[in-house]
Amino acid sequence: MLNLRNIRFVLWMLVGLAVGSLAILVWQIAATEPQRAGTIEPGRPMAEGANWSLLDEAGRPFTPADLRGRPTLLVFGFTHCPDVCPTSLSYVANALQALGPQAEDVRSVFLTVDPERDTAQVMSEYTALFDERILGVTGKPEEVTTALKSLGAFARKAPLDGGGYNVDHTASMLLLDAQGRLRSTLDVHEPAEVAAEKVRRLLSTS
Amino acid sequence: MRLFLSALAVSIIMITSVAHAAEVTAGDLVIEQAWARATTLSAKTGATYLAVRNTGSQPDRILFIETPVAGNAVAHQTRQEGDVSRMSETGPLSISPGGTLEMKPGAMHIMLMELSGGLKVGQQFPLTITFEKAGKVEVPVKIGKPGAMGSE
Ligand SMILES: [Cu+2]
Repeated sequence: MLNLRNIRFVLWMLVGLAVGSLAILVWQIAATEPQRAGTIEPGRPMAEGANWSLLDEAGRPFTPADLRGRPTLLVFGFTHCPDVCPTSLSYVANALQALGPQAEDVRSVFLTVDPERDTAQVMSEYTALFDERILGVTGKPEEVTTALKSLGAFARKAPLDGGGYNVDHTASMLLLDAQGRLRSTLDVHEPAEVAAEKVRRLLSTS
Repeated sequence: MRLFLSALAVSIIMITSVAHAAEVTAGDLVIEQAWARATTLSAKTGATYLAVRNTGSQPDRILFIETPVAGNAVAHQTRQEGDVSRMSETGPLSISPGGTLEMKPGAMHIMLMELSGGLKVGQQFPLTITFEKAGKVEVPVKIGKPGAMGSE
């Protein structure tokens, strides 16, 4: 009798524990949800219906129309980012190198998530470090915010202890087709030749 | 013959000093492969990477990092959460006995802030690390390409 009661007690304890951990799990998932603003959905139109107006590193307008006509390699970042962004941009530079003459058929864009510090001049000098064919794009902060949102990218300023700030941002490199639709992403952990092959496949179908 | 021998000795010393150029020893610690990425002339930030090997039986800790090329040098950690990349201070870094503290792109780095004049490829600059036990050590940092992924 006592034994059965003990077993029942233990069982109810286990049920309570299971419900409790499930609640914590659900709460954790819910808590991380807003940070996943930059989710990448393949096929997503990036140019269609978009309304933003930016400036390239030479001070020329850069609008959603500039995401059409040929495939685009799109990288988000900022010039005060010394660790992740140079890795991404040198990866793009290596992919362009691997593409050979076909590199001329693709547009490479480095869009800043930090327009306050990244003027056209700063962007121009920075992209030239990696490959002259990478086009730096910046603009008015409100316009950059609109463009990032429209492109599904995440960016948020994070203050640093020693003063100044970092910008947490979407690190995925996007590959858009000639209609400005998202086709795939590039991964720096893959050889640059894999990125070149993704671009070639897109060039052969568009 | 004597001349030949001394020439040989000199060249052996030179070879070993070249081979060990990237390695600095301080007490039980060996600091190796210190390198940085080149930046633009006007850049305010840069990244330095190195490895600290602890050959002793006591843990040690990094207290300060300084360099004349930057106003501020702090250890940072880059984290990838989903497709978002974040960066923050690491806090105090300790090296366990027999362990190695390894920095590399996309992970831990020494963030240089308030650079004056940028970092030029092919050049070198001194970085002074103060360890709790091993004390102050000056490490030469080689500047590689802007997109370098390791010391060349
Ligand atoms: Cu950093």
